[in-house]
Order: sequence, then structure tokens, then C-alpha cells
Amino acid sequence: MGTVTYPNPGVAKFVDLNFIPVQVEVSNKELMQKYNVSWTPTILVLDADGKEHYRSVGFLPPDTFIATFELGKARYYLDLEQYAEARAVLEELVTRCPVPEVMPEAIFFQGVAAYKHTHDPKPLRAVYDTLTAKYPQSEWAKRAEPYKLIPA
Amino acid sequence: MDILCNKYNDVENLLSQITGKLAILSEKNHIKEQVQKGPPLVFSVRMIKLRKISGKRSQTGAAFIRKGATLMAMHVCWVDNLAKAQETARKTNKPILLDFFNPQ
Repeated sequence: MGTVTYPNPGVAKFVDLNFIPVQVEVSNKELMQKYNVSWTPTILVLDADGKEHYRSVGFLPPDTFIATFELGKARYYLDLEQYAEARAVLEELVTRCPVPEVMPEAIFFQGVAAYKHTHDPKPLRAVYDTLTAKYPQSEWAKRAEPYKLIPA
Repeated sequence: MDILCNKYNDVENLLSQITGKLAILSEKNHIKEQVQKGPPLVFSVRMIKLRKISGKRSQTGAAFIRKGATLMAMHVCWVDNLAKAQETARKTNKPILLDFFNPQ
């Protein structure tokens, strides 16, 4: 990460605009134990109270890193019940930054955020339809399967 | 030319370290104000001119930053103190990105 991803100007700009970036070495046993980290790189998205909202383990190239942590930011907003913000981030991610590895999960949570925001279940059905059409082999298509019972 | 500046550091000192020259900010207040506002944390400064400093001929010149310098990130400005980051996160309503890394 330190030689490929973090020196990338797009990654730097993304991180500085969207996060407070903190780096700790594995020698920090206290934080390693607190967050149950056993492998590097492990990157977490936390809130101001130090509560974890998203986690990524393993190397990510620059484009995937940005898409992954756009999703992480959306999950943070979703957990904090800031649904409008979560939807805006996910919409941007799904429409403008189509990194295939991240898309199924982004589409899934786009539907979740829309449902939580509006209490209208139709976006969940749309999630099922989109995932089965575009990413039928993804785990997120399977997780969305119950939504096929929602009338279209 | 792009120059990095971290909000946790003094603007002129950091510019001096990077350029190896005495840094003089023509729009010091403007830049300091932006630093104090918080993110973006990193300054990219364009249109640098060299000029001689009166009475300091041994200096090779000064980094002179014009008004309207562009701001953008050049690399990630990590902090190593989670408690401090939590404080900043509380003020800015931004999430924390916590990276566990192995330096070896």
C-alpha cells in the first residue's frame, strides 16, 4: 500500500478530502487487540468515538482502494443514520466509479440506504433485480434473494 | 509546481524544507486561514517564483506563492495519534481511516 496505493495522487486527494487518516504500526499491540487485527494491511473506518463501521484486509490497488472506501464512507453514514449522505455517496459510486469488485455490495447498500431513508421497499426489489441481472454470481445477489418477494 | 503542506505543520517551515529555499508566502493570511479551516489538509502551490532576498544574498532565493494558489492533495498526511484524530473527527464530522501497517 505504501509503495503503490498511498503515493497515488488520486488516492491522496480522496483520503484527505474524506477522512482523518491515521496510521499505526503492528507494534501497537493495544490497538491491534482492541480492533481484533491479525493481518496487514488492515484498514478500518471509524467514527469519532472509535467505533468500527467498515473493514478491508489485504492490498488494494488505487482505483479499488477509492471505490472500497467510498463504500466504507457510505456504510459509516448508514450506521450513523445519515441516510441522505449515504445515498449520495452510493449513487456517485455506482454511477460514476464502476469498479467491478465493489459494485455488488455498493448496489446492495444503495437499496438498503434508500429503504431506510424512505421506508419504501421498492428499492430493495430493484437491488434484487439489478444484482441478479448484472452480478448473478456475487454473494450480494444471494443476500438480496429474499427481496424478490417484494412486488416490483 | 506542486508543493505539499500539512495543516499540522507551519506552512512556511514546511515549504522551506521541501524547496530547500527560504519560503515567503505572499498570501500568508489567506493560506493560514485556509489551514485553520481544516480540510483539505494538503496545499498544492503553483506558480512559484524565485527572487533574491534583500540583505540575504547567500540565500539562493525564496519560494514565492501567488494569490490564488491551487489546493490539492499530493500525498496522504497520516497522523499517528488516534485520540487526536478522534478529536478532529468530532469537529469535522468526518470518519477516521485507520491503517494498520507493518513497516518491515
